[in-house]
Amino acid sequence: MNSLKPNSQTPSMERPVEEEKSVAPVIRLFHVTKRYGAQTALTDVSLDVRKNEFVFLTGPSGAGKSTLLRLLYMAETASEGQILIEGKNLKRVPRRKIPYLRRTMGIVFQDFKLIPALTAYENVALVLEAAGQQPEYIDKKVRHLLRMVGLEGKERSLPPSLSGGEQQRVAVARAMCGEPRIVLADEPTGSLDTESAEVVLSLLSDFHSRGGTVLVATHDAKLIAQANKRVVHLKGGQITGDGGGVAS
Amino acid sequence: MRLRFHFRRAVRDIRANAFLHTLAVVTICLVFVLAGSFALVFVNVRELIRSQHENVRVMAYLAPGLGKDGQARIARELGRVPGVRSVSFISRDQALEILAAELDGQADLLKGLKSNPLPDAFELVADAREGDSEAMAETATRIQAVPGVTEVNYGQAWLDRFAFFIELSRMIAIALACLLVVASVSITSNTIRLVLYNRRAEIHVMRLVGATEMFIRAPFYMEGALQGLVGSVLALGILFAGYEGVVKGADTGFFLGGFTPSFLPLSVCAPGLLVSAFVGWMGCYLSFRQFKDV
Ligand SMILES: Nc1ncnc2c1ncn2[C@@H]1O[C@H](COP(=O)(O)OP(=O)(O)OP(=O)(O)O)[C@@H](O)[C@H]1O
Ligand SMILES: [Mg+2]
Repeated sequence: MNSLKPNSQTPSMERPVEEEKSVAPVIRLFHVTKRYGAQTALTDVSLDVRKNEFVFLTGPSGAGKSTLLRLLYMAETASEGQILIEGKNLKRVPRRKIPYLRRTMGIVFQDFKLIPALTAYENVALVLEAAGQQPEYIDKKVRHLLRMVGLEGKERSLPPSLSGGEQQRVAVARAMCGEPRIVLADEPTGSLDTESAEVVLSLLSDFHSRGGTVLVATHDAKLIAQANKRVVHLKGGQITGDGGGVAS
Repeated sequence: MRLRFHFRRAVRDIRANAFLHTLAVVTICLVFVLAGSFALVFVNVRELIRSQHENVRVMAYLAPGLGKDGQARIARELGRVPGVRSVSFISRDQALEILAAELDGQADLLKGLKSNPLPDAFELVADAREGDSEAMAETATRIQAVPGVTEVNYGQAWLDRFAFFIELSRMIAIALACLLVVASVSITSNTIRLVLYNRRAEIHVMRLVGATEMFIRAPFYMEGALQGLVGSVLALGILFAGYEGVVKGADTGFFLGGFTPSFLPLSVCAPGLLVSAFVGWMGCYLSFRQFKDV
């Protein structure tokens, strides 16, 4: 609040302002601080993610990666600073508009957040049902995505009867099914073996190549090395590094 | 399509919380049985009184010396007063005979009279207008206004008592209905709140994946309304069985002088069912108000 400045002003970024003016950032954090009571999870974080960028967010446990993502999908509100998604200031998004904002994002939660009473199929379908899609479309889309993440035949399984990796892949399928413009993934390969991790990475890359913007929080150094994308380092709630694979 | 989808979710939810929902339905059912029995008694007592006193006897006493023509004119005019069903002439001589017959053993009392002190009169039968004593008073005033009528007499005190009874029981019925509605709203609201509590993680996830409040709440509203409806339909069934048992089992005709109690008319049942659905809906609305920030 106290660091409130006009949004048009150039944010103080570590990165040189080399981006084309025409491509406005899809995600913009502007001096964002997030406190949980006495605990400060993020301190004065500024970050721009342009349209169709693929960014890894990495750093040790407790660095604030999940917190940053939670702020983006409005599960939390920033204590200080401004956040803009596709040019919309989240502080000014009215409550009843939040669902529509969230539909522009596909979210993979660190703890999956699958509904235990619903089958794998129903968990994925829920997103499309909530968005008011036609049943035929939903059926086609959900089956296709579950096949893509290698869960064919597991459609009718309930999450508790799936392995951690299988649950994670359901979560990835759910994040992708609503045709979002932005994918926010919190440790999307945390419970996966190398092979499944590659499947998920290729899904994300595919989404990226079709014009999507991707922000992945992970400690998976192998995944980061493999992907060769921009990497933002977070430590103790502050950005300590940003670079690599800029030419993505 | 949407409705069917939400309905399926509601049914799944009811299955998952079968015990809670059964408890709520049973409680609502009891509340409605209570309300229904009162309504049943109320409707029938009113009907019983009405059937015994559909008509009010009104005596219109005449001025002396009107002659046959005058009496005929008055009879015509009285016949035209709204609410008057029949008019019959009772001459002063007939009146004296009736009086003598009523006095029976003490007819001697009348022997001392040199002349007949009674006036000619018309006996009218007027609509009781469902015990509306004001309407009755108006009819009486109109009768009084007919030239040649000196005095009007009807069972005013009785009518007033009847009207008072109807009014009182109507007020009690309304107060009781309000009380029962409030009670059942709080029952549903509490059940749905428990269901919401059980489902809070799920609701949270739905919100996170972009479901609107409408989408999330629709099945719960259906559950609430369904709870109310099922409860009240059960209550109607129980009431009807009870009614049948009483009417068929006991010889009510004997006790009530030929009056057969009727079941609640559609004009009571239909709004009752509507209210029960509304009660469920309202209960759900209230519990969501306390459940905004899941
Ligand atoms: N709801 C909360 N209440 C209080 N403190 C919290 C809450 N959520 C997170 N924190 C704190 O904020 C800090 C950052 O947490 P966050 O979950 O963002 O870390 P992370 O980088 O995602 O870690 P990990 O890699 O283990 O997932 C931690 O110190 C954590 O204890
Ligand atoms: Mg985390």
